[in-house]
Amino acid sequence: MFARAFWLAFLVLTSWAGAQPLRVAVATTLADSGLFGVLAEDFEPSGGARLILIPAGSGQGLDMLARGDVDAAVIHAPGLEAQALATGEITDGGCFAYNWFVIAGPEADPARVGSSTSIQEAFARIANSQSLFVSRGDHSGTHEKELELWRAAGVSPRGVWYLEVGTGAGAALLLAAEREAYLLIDQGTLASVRLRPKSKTLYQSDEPFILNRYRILLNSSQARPIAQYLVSPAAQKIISSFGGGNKFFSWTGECGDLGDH
Amino acid sequence: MEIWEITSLSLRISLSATLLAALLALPLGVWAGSGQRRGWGTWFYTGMALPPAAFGVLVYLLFSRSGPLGGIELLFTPSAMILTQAGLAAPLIAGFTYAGVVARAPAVGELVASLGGNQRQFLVTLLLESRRPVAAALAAGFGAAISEVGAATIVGGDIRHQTRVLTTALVLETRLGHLEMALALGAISVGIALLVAALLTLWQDH
Repeated sequence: MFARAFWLAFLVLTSWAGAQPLRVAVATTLADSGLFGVLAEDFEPSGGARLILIPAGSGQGLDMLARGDVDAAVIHAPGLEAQALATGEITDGGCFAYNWFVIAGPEADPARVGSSTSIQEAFARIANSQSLFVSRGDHSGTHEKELELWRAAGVSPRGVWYLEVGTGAGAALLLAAEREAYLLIDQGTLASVRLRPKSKTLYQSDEPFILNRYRILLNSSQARPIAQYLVSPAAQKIISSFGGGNKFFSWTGECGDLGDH
Repeated sequence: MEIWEITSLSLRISLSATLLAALLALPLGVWAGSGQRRGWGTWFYTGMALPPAAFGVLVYLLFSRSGPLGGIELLFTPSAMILTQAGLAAPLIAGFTYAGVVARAPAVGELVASLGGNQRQFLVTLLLESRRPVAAALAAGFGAAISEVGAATIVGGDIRHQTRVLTTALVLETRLGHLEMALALGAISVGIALLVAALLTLWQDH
């Protein structure tokens, strides 16, 4: 009797929260830069479904997708994408945006990252000079790429200079700026988070190795409209002009195989 | 092992914070309660509802390199976390102490006056008579300190081997899908709370 009354009270008290919206896990770079929020606002009136955005690193987003806690996940970790798609339980919604990873850091650039001729050399210089480096440490797309770059540079990062933080992209950026540390981040998020102590872009190039491309994966056909929307001309225009442009770029073709670096 | 490092850091930070808060908040609570200063009581109760994350942002801005106290480089250190947790525990300690003292003050005042005691004896007797609410106050303060996560993340940064505590580790493990590990960290938190509660119960009934 009491249990039934409690259940009834629960239903009444939660009824205002509304019916089944689409839940989308969004890479923290796209969430913290604000781009995906803008896309969602444009999608909702046209597509009908209400979106619930959950900022989550790529690894976590895929976990949530596999558990069925979200209907779609926006991620940027080619290696993890390939693994997830290979299970056959998750469908590909396609790629819809890209930009480049850059190394940001203190103006003084103690490790002389700015004069490196390749991204591997830049990473090696940071390790050799034991300059403070902020790692995302959370299996996000950015963290996966960072680990890949340390391997390419022949370094296994360890020591007091290597700060592993468990927070999202925006918070890691704030920490790096406060501590005058280097970090790997995509140019769009770097340019979108407002920093008071400044971090400067010190290394930037168009090596394919540091291309950063965003993909949406789905686990229910209900989520298909959001994937279709993301490659529509309307969405692509929002992506390439976001924040005055030059932060994220339009991508509508095949995803291509970036997973084998 | 890393989990002991995290547990021990959590304990050190939250115990230090509770002691720091108690140094200020206990006397303040007794002072406000013994003098029937109800306005102060209202402020204590308001402070109990202070959103920890909002307070965290305040401390962040204070100690940011671009902030007024940026020069002492306290941000993202355990010391900053102690200060933040102390700030969050203080209203709880002051408020519970005030509530316990204000209820006992008239009776104790009459008793001490009838025995010819002075103001100092009144305060000492009042504090002794209020052992139970003071224990509740300390339990609430410690509980708030060790279970807080929003401000701990903002001010501490959840840096591995440096500022990662039980709650911030728990959030990270959840984000990584290691739900069993997250539950284990939660269980350790509860275990610590049980230990502290047992010690406080022994003390209040002593």
